Amino acid sequence: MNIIDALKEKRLIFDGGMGTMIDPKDIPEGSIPESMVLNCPQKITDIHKAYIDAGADVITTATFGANALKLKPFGMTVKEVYEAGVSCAKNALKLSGKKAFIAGDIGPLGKLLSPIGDLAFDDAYDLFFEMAKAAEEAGADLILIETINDAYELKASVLAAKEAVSIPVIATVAADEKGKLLTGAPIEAVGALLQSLGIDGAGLNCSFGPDKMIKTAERLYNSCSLPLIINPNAGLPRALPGGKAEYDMDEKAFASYCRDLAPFASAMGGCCGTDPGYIKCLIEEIKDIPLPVKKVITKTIVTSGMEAVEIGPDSPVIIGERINPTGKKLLKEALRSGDVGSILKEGIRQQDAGAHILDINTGLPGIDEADAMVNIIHQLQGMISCPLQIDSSDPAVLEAAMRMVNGKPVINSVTGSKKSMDTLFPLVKKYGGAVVGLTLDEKGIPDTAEGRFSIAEKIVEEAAKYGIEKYDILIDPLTMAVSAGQDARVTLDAIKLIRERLSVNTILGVSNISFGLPRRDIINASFLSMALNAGLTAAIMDPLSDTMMDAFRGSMVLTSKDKNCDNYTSLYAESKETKNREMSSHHDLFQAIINGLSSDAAASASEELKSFDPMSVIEEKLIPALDLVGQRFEEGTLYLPQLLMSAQAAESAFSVLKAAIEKKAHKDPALNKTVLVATVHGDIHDIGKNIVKVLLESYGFNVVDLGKDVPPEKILEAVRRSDIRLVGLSALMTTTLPAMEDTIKLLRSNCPLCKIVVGGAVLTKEHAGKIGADKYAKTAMDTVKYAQTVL
Amino acid sequence: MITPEEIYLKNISRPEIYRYLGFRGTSPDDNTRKLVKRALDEISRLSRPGYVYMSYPLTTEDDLISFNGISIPSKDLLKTLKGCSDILLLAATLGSDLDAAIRKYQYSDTAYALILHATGAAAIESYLDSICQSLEKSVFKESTFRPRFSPGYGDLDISWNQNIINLTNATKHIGLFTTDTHLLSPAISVTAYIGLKTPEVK
Repeated sequence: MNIIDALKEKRLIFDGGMGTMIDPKDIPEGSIPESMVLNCPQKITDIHKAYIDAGADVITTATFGANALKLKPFGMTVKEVYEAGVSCAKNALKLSGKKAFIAGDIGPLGKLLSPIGDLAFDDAYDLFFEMAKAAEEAGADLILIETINDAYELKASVLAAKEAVSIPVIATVAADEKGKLLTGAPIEAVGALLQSLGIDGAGLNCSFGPDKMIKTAERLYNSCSLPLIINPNAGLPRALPGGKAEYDMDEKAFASYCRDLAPFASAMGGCCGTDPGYIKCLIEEIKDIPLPVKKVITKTIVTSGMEAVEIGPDSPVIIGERINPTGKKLLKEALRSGDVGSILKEGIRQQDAGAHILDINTGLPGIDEADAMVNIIHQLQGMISCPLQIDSSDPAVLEAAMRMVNGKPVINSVTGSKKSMDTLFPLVKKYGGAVVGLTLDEKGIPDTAEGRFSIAEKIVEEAAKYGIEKYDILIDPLTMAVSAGQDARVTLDAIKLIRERLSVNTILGVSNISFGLPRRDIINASFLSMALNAGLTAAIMDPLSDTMMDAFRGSMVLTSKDKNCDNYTSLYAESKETKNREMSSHHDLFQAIINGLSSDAAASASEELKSFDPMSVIEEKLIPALDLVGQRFEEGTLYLPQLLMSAQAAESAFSVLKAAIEKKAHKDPALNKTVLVATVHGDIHDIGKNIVKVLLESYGFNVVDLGKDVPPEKILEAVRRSDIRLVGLSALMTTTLPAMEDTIKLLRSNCPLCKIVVGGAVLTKEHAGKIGADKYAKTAMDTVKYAQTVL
Repeated sequence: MITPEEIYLKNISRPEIYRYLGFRGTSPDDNTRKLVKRALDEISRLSRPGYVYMSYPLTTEDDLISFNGISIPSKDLLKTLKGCSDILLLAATLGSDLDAAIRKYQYSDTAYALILHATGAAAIESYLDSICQSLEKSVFKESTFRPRFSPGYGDLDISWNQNIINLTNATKHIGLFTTDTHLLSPAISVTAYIGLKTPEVK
């Protein structure tokens, strides 16, 4: 019998702490605990045996940190440590004459994954794969991934273990008292992610004692259908002089608090600070508590590394549609030039405006769609908390993104055609996610609501064959342009049918309805209200449109989804007053820039345009104001935050003026001056580059921002693509200066006409000269001045 | 007893924030003040403070800092540890949510990102002050604390961050990591060595 079946029959007992039982004196000086299984296997075997004798059904190998990253400096291999670790456990079983499962233990890597840290997702995956494979080959009965405190690392470890082995895989996480992982994911996000990855058991371990785990355990229990494994510490550690720690909860107290956890747990044991005595007490205390009732959670939850979003009839969501090049000139340009900065900004604006999920589509002829998709997701997920909707018609693009996205995404989309379902459903099953099903198939789009419903039914049935549950499907009954003679009621009726007969969530690209009509927002908003009333659960729309957001929030009130109208009131009660206050502080453009007031600057720029030519506003008001601010900054009478606020104000005025110039088709060469900026490969600190970018934009330069940690080849590629004449490179760390030098070399030999300006905390003028830069910029203003002279 | 988590937000020094922002001798404008206020509110919402510590008997014979089989080559650290009987290793963070917010604002509102970062830096210092005061009154009643000294100060190489993190098990307990370049992540975090003086040694 494997552990999955055993968990259904009785509550299994896991062993307790391993580190607690190892005497630090037994670890050779300068080595790591993982060497114990090789150097003194008998001691580890004795610990396992003590736990078996205490009554443990599962013993965990002493291989917590046995990843190649950690072992390599000590001359050990992953394979030999797992072999020795499992053999200690086997010997203990032999000695005791009893039966127990051997869990091949896998702990966190001790490095934070990119983009927050510097370990690449694929590298983390490879490290975990090697460990899981070694554990299975050594003879472990299951893989226990434990103490993970980052959602992205959790995904890498589970995906790797599932691909590496055929034995059961279980994962437990270390959450804080509020039920969050250290990098921000709430426990609901953990439950939804683990369930969608098809793991065999989920749970909690470490962090603190059982007393502080009860709420989190209950939340986890209610967010996934998996059996739970809970291994708490013996309370909180107290540091003792001499580098030791003791835990503040004794066996009795530990066991009695575990009693309150047991109703949620299919298996229990201990973590730091517990020993065989604790396990004995635990068994005695919880033996009369029946196994948790098998429950099936049918909520639709999608997640990011920081958030869980539930989609359902009681909580319809807004999916921001703006990161999609179709019909958007600026986004097309940004994708073509590789300007990640503008795309990130677009994501942030949508999240701040109230989007719950962001759609990401990079389908544009002439660019590598998968590469752009992966790059944007990679950079977005370090700062955006919204879950993502991966949007492509190419399964290869979807797979690349599904693999590396942090969390459980929405996947957009599959159709009712056999080929589409045969290709995509296995991917959804493997990587996890909620999938959008379009109601069209080989025969096209049915004209009737009944016809679209039939396809929805077919999709749901086919998905079930792959083990994809109904709650992980969102049906899109398709919005058709009313201007083309299509009846919007077909779509609305289909929403109702799908909800009533299938109980499946629905999703719509709302804005298609108004294609070809003037003032599209009016039609879009009316249609959105009607669709929400019909039961729509996810609206793909523009969250920056006030009309649309007003319609959404109004509909939430009128369909009783905004309790006591709380959300509506909190957002709209003060808005009139705020507007009045803003109006009264109206400045003239020059003053607005000096004072660093962005919204005033934009408003006064529009005001100026009524009487003046945009170019003269730029020359007579905007630039002089900026120059004055720059001068004061250099004199030391004004400081960096103020300089930046002024630059941001100038930039918002500038975008108003630029739009006016473009409208007049008044092409001014000054506006085509483009500077490319990037933080060099290996460097993840981009504050300096971002400051330079804001200043350049305020002076009217077009900036292509490639983001941080950018390989030299990518920079070269972007320079060639947009015929860039000035490149700004930034590096904060001494260790990344060689990457800066490599980038300069590569640019020099391929684009000799391109000028290069460099900056960063560790750079000096001498070094900048040595590595071949044209200019060393000590401050952001230096870069602006240089750009003015060379472009 | 009031915990450090309850008190540190109230004790953040505003002059310190303005100093981090580069204001020297002049008082900041209303705009900056307003944004600092906003940053303080945001920090109280986003921060998830946590700390860990570990102490070891210390010797400084022959001008060599030595504890737990480790010796640290730093003259500047030695100055603060001279005459101390024990060394306290301390690691504290305000958590990763605040970091994510700073990263986000770097793209959407760079000026405010700078202010949030500076305010975060003052907040973590205030948190460390509160932790030290609390430890001095409870766990280490017998000792007085010397000023804290962090890797990266003076001649103490920044790579010593890892030593403090390893010995306090900070990665596991409070989610504190170092990058390949030895910086702390989350960035709004501090590690420090603190000398403990006990009366017997005096």
